[in-house]
Amino acid sequence: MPSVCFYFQVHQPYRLREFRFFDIGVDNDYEDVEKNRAVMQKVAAKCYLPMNALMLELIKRHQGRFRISFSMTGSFIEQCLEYAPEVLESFKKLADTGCVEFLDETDNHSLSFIFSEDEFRAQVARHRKRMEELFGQKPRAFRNTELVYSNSIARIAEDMGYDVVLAEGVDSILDWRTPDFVYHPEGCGRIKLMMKNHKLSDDIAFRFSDHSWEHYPLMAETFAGWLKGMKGGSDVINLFMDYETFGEHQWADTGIFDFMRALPDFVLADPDFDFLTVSEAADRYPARGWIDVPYYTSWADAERDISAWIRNDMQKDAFRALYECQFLAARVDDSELLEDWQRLQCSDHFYYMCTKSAADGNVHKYFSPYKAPADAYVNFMNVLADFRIRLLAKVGQ
Amino acid sequence: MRVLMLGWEFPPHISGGLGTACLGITQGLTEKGVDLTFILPSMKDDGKSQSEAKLRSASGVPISHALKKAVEQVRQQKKHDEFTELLMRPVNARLHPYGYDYSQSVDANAFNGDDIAEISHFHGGYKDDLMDEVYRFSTAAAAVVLEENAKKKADVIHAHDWMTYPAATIASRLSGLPFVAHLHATEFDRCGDNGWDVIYGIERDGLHAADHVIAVSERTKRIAVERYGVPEHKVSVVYNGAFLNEDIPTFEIPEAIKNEKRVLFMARITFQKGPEYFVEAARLVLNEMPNTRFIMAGSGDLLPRMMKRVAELRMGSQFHFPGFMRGKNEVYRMYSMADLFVMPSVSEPFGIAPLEALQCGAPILISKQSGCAEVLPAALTVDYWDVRRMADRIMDCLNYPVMAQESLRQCQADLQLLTWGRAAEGILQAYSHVCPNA
Repeated sequence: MPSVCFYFQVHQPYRLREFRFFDIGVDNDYEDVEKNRAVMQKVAAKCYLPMNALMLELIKRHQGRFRISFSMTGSFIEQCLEYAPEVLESFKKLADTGCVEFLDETDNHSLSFIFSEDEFRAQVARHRKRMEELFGQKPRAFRNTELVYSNSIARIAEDMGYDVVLAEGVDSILDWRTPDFVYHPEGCGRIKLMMKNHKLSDDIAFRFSDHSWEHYPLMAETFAGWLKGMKGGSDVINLFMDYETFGEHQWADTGIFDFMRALPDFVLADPDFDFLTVSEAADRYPARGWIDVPYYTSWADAERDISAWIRNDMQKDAFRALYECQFLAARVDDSELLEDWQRLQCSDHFYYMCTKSAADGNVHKYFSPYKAPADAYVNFMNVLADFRIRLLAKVGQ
Repeated sequence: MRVLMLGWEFPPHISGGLGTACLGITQGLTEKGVDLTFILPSMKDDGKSQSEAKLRSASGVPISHALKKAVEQVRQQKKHDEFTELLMRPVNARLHPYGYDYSQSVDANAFNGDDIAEISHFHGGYKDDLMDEVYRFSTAAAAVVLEENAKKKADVIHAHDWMTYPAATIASRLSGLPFVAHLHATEFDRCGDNGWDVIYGIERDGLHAADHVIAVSERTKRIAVERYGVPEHKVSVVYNGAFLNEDIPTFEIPEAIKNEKRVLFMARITFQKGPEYFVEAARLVLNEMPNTRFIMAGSGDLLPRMMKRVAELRMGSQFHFPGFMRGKNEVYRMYSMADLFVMPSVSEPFGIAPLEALQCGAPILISKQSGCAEVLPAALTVDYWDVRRMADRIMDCLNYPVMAQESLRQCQADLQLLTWGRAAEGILQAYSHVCPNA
């Protein structure tokens, strides 16, 4: 009896304002408040509010048989509180239905695990606290920033008490296996691993409105048919995607809302099918094997690795410079500085510096507030220079 | 004395180093009582001239069929003459090598007929169609020269850099006025030995057609003589100047960064300015003095490569790229913040930037391949390619501010002599070679 597992990623970065060389040592106001507010309010109107309303409608209509999972970053929640509190309220309403699970991740949407396990654990712990306070849930499932994953991340997640961890279903890792079962990560004990079915997920997230795609326009009935075709060869079909897919990446006029409105009906029409949240699926299905991921994978770009954030020299240099501040940051106890320190770690800053071309380059460009990757680098380094000066001054005191 | 000047830049209409120099030269000459009209391809409507010289745009000028034909004739004639010129040059360059003198036969009014062929239009600056603009400018500027000369008889045509040499050549042929070519930079300075032969050709033709040449330094004169074959006696050296009475605003260095040391590079980020040597020297300095801050201000075709290199060397947290400075005030502010200004130019005909740095109180380290080093004997110099020595020099200046200050003090004293008035005197001297009543 296969289950469908929807997990939606909800994230908005704190975009930096243009921070010039002359601002170093003068101004410690890094954020582009106007832009962040505008984006948040725009996406709230186009995506978060209508999609949350739709999710609530579906949950009520199907009387608990439609179930979904969310993971939302701290920077999203903080910007919500500031610019669109009604969005957070609508998420709380979803949480109250009991059909929605919230996952844990790094609070700052950071790549901290690469550099510092301590920093990583602190960020996850902060996120866990936030989830408890906001939604009254103690997350049992963990997904790392941008689905970045490796054996060691699974090990830390297990150590932190999680029951299940998520990863991209990278073809080269899975080899002959399918992502549609629950697995165990190599080198771990009881923690389970669920992997994204990238074909079906990306059919919705990326190809839905692609006119050159052979299955365009994608109908809910067709998609449900594909799912049903997997009966017998799968336990759980993991559809992981950005929540902003609905109404923001794919605009309302593509029919994406209608697609989602109709999909549960078609899926649930077959009594063999149901929807589960991440932990529910991990509880119900036994692990069918061990998956060994000795290096980092992620859900980004064609490479499905961390090259979207750390590949070219600008990115590597910026990373180095950022995490050089770690030891200083550990010595200060200033809430403003620490807040900046956390926000600067947001992986999006490095994503903007990516210089890949072709299709992936266009995706990076779509998300970037900068004209060019080099602008992102220069601006970030200026901010970092100022931040470091402030840190040093504080430590010196 | 009436001078018709042809230029490609003039503040505020596109202003690089060339524009600054043109402004200084016109100011200096005007103060000496010279009646001066400056002709450039286009002018912004709102732009107010900073000088007393009359500015004239070569855009919107009606060009008659007669003029077009005459210009074409000059060009054709020139082609025919190439062989003749070759034969004649050893005899005497001051002879007109072009066979006949148009000024005897052509009345300027003959070009002002009703048969307008076109109205000239230029956007100025350095865009992709620069060559086309240069070509068309030669006709339009000639029209303006003829008109101005008819209004009031002029004494000399003075043209700045290769973009205006073809125009000056034609205007000189059609008006009979002598042509003085001012050499601010050559293709060899800009591109080393990998220059574009078309530009080299234009420069060479211009310098040979000119009745006299003004070079901005001995270094540049040497290039004109050795690489363009210009007879030595035809070249005068006139150094650029500084705007000494300009008010330099003072800037407070923010408290938080007062204790930092800053080393500044500010120029177009191109081959000529040697940015890569600065980057490599920075690496050596940062190995020893990791808290030094390096700044590479400006923009240019090598900027992406420099950024890549800095990132590669993992020194982006100490090496900044603030981009093109927005306005004079930011330029001054940048200089004022610098503990040392470095100009590692591979080949700098003169270099006005170090003078500006000195005015703002920044000690300078310049390459030995810079023309201004000839007039700033106390300046710290280094071969542009000697990165190790450059790094040592930078560290000396940062570690021993007293030494840097002493060099700064002497350079500032030398700077007091480098006025545009002095440059103007040199230019008048050069004019006297070609027009008797100068």
